[in-house]
Amino acid sequence: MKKNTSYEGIVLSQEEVKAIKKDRLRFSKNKIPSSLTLLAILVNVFYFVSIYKTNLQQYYKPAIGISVLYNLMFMLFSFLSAEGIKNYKKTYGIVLIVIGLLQLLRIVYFPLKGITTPVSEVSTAKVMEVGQFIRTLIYLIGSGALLIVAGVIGYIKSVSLEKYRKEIGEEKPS
Amino acid sequence: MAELKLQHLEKVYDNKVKAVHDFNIDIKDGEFIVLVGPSGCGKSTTLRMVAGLEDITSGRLIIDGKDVTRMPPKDRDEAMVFQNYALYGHMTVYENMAFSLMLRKVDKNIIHQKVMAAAEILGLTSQLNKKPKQLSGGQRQRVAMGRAIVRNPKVFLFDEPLSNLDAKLRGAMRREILLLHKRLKATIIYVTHDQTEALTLADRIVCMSMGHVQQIGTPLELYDTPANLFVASFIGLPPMNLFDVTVDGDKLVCEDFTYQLTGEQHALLADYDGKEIVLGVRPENVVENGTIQFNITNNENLGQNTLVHGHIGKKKVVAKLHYWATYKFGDQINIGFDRVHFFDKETTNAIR
Repeated sequence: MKKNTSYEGIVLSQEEVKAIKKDRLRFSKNKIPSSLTLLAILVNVFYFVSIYKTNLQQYYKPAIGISVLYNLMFMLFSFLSAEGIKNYKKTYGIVLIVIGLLQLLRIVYFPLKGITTPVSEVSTAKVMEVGQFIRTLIYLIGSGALLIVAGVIGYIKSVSLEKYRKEIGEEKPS
Repeated sequence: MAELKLQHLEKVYDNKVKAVHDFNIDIKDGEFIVLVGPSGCGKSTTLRMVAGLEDITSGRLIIDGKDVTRMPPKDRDEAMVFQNYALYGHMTVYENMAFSLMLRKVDKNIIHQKVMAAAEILGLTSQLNKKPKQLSGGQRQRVAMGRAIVRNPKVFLFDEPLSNLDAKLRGAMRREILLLHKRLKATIIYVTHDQTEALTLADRIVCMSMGHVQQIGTPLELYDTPANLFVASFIGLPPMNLFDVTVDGDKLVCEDFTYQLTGEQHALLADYDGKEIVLGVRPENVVENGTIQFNITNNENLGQNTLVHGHIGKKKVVAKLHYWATYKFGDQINIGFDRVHFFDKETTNAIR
């Protein structure tokens, strides 16, 4: 259904729309970055499901515990940040950017090592097949990018709201 | 805003109970109409028929010249405020107020402008980010009103909106509704069983009983010239004292006293000579000089007024005195009536 841009004869000027858009931030949640973050968590779930279903014991044994722990921490911090950024808390914008960068950094450790390390000294087969490598690569890049975008949008909107609140002399809600 | 015509509206439920009988009224643009009556008198049913929440069994409902009798509620351009607020608990005040316009896919910037304007009118600006559970009863009712205001409907319908509030808040909200009406110049139909609300808010009151309209008139008309015994006893606090009396020439005679008629009253009751009628006296028309013996049982001091309860013979009577009276149980005083009303005993209609 098409949006009604005028209603009961009310037509807003560009200046009015600009001012109202700013003012609207006070009463609406920062939903876009929050939703992007939740999406990033989902993409990360695809990543670790994809990686754990392979028999990686030989290579992955020592690091598997750390990997599980990291994924749990990732989900926890991402979820907290999603809630925080929804309420225009700019710190969580930075946290999201950092988590996003860490996601990209994970590529260097695994799956990159998986595609370059042989299963055993006598075999030429690699720990990870090409198809699986590409899938995991997409998942990590995807979740990392989503988090960085969410962090940037969230931070910009939070700062913009903070500035506007100062302008109108409104106290920050607890 | 709008003009409404309710023509011969009737409501019969499936179990054959007739809730509303032949309801007729023309409501002017911007008029504040209050439907008042005891529980079960059909006032809420009438309102719900106007809202489209109840089917109209027979009759016509016309808004601004357009017959909307069979039109679904969403197309009638009316907004209703309920007794229980009916707010969405998971939404903030802002979202609650914006919701109806969001459903209509109105531009968010326009919604914002309308919500802010309504919040300003209702003094809710600082509460917009709160959830309903964080608000007091009065604030919740204001949110419910705000939700109606943002829609800018043709007609506002209020179904006992203040019944859940305490007495003090009810008084404050009453004044706010009145100011709101003056500001919006809206056509309002308001249902209440509280006669104080009816008398203070209405341009015109519709007094109902058992599904029948008893009288339609201004608050003063209903108070001053009640059409029948029901209106006389329902409007006014405390209610009117009623005595069964017999017209005997220029006197009214009952077991315990005789009331001397004036020339005008005698002429009015000429057709009733020798017949029984009902004499009505409002408590505020009882005066402390006269010939009728009044046996006092107790006082209720209300500050500037005192309600004095007692008996004339066996008949219970209340007098409203405009000072702090200090009568005790067993005191006897002589009283008179400075204004009376007469009612036909058979038809219960006022004799005028």
